[in-house]
Amino acid sequence: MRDILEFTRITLKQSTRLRAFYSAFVITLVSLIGLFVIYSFSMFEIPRILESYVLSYTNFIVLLMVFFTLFSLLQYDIDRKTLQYVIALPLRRRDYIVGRYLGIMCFSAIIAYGIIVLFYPFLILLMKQRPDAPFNVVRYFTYPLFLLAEVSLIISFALLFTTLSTKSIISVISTVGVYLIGHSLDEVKEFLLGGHAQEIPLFSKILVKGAWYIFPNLSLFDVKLRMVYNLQFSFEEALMIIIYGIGYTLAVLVITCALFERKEIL
Amino acid sequence: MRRLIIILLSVTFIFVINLTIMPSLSRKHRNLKKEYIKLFFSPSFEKWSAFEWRTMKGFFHTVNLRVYLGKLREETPVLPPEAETVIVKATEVVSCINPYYYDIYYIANGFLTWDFGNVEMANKFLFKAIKYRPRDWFFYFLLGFNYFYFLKDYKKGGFYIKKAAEIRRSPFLSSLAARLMYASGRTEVAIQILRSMIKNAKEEGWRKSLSKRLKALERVLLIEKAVEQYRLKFHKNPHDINELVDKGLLKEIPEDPYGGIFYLDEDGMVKTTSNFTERFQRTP
Amino acid sequence: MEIVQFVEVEKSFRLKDIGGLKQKVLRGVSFSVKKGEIFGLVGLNGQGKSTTIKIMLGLLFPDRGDVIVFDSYPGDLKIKKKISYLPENPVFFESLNAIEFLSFVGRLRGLDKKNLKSSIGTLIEKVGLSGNEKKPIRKYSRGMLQRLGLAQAFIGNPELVILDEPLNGLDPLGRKMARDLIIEANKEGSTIFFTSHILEDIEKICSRVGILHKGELLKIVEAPELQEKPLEDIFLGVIEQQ
Repeated sequence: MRDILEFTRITLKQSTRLRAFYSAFVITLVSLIGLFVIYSFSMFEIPRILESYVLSYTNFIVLLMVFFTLFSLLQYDIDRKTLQYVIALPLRRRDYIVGRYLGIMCFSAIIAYGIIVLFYPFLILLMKQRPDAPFNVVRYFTYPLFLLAEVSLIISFALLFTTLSTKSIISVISTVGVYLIGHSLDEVKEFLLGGHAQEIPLFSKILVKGAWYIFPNLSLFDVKLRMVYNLQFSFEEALMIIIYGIGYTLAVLVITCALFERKEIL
Repeated sequence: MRRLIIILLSVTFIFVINLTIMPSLSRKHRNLKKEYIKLFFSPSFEKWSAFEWRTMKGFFHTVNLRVYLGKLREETPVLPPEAETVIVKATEVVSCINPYYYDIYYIANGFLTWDFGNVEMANKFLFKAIKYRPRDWFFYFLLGFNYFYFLKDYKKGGFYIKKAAEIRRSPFLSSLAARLMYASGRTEVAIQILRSMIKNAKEEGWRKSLSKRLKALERVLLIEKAVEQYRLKFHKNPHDINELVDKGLLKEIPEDPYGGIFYLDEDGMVKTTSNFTERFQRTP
Repeated sequence: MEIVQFVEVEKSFRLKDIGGLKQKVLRGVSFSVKKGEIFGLVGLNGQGKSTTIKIMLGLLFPDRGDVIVFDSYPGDLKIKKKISYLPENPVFFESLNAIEFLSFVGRLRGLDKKNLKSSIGTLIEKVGLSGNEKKPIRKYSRGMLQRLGLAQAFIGNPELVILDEPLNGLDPLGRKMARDLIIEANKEGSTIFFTSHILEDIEKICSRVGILHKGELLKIVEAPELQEKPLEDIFLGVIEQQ
């Protein structure tokens, strides 16, 4: 456990020292101005559109930073062969996987909650000027948990692809592919199998249905509409979504660790 | 020293091209961009391509629509027919991407009814708004108004305004609903509703637009009252509007704020040469 | 006591550009490394030296044969804690500085806070990185990286130190420093296994030398023979015989 935490710390240090992290910080400060611009552009329900902006921006930056960090770290590990050295250290192979996962998760959590907290006072200030819609503080601060559940899946898939491929770019492209498929599944399945499209070949139907059962359904984690519009969202359902994310992640990590035990580090 | 000169020259060059070539290129690009508003993919594709950023995509499409309509208004007081297609398409897309978004329903209803007389389409969107936002009294109110004023279905108008009254718990709305049920004083009721809408309107541009409408309706009411008095006195409809002035029932023919001239049709209904009354008196 | 044993180890790799044909890199390699010795493995470039090391560390798995390290299989966590490794052309965590990096390695090797601090200080001075310990590793030159690599290899006094071309990229003073470090660590009880294609360095410090050529271990040269003849002559003689 101690070894995992050591490697987690190193991963976190590496992530926070990437130049992109500082750029993201500067962009975030600039995007505070965007909050005021959105405020002046809106007609009605100011609190809702402001909250949408903050949550959407958090979503965007966290995903961007996760992909960027994955690309940078995996590039070092795979392409520049730091992995050779790391695996030779007094660490279990699975400690590398778990340490990288936990490190990038911590990094994502810091960014997500950092943005949410940073924007909060400005949000409240602007909402007080035109309080024409309700604002649920609990939902606002709970949103990052769902984002992190989604990010958790993305990171675990990235590590799985690292195990399977010999070039970092293949890992990253595959991970982006999983992200796009994960977000499209619900829509595509409903469109193709819900009788909206004309006659589709059986092969396509099987493919879509198969993909629906294999790939993670990432659209479940997009709860922004529910948070912003205070829609029906029971505690049980919220918990099930988080459990789905954690459970799927654990499964992917277990597979990754199992495959990684016998991966030849060239 | 040489490097400094090269840098300064390059910076100067950048300023020069930004002051000369760039503005005309930008103007051409902005003109072209006006056409982009008409370019929408199917609502389901737009929804899919928004991924996790549906709320912001809906917001930006709506802002674009407002800019487009605002620019058109500056060029001509009467919006061209193609603007109706744009509004309908934009509303279909935005309400698919984010069916909870308030602004789009408000904008769509405002323009489709008053500017294009397409009350059927406006109501279709209002029904969608009600489906997703069942606790919002205002959409019931707008629906009620549309039925009452544009479609002259007083029963349905009263029904929806009553629903709005129940949600809002407003005595004013309740009495309005009651009046509608008795189908009396169409223009007067419309004036009352408009006054209430102006009071609630937060955007300056929208308030101005509503105030103009209110002014027009008040003048229509003035003429209608004069026609009513003529009928009571002479047991027939006046020949034309000038008769009302001749008979001393009107001081003068009021000015149409929309630039037209008021006249009476063969049934004694108040009309104007501007499309103001034409458009919203269109029967479905 | 033998702490490393290779018994008839074979290893092949699939060549991607020749339609998946396999190329044999190690052909029945057998040798052992005794506790407390400095064992050198020499060979020309691309003869299987790095592959041997990677199999010893559990980074690669042999197709045939047995590999025993400290009476266990390579990659066992318990024995990894006794081993340190310096790769050829090392790439470390570039965003860290030397102190952070060495602390990380030291903690993994089980050093406590107090010992860690003094070990790091001593090693940084020995390898000649004083004044650069707080610089990010990405700003290090090739020679500085190699020095850092040596420092991390000896932190915590590991029982087995595996070095792949440890004197690469070092200037003459650096090479002397590295040789002294290796000898000092050996005197303190560490067993050293290192590879090099520079025979001069090998013969100065090794007690036994293995000659690897085209994946075969042709000869193990013992200390007495090393003192009689220059290693270069022995090496060339063995290669020519082959």
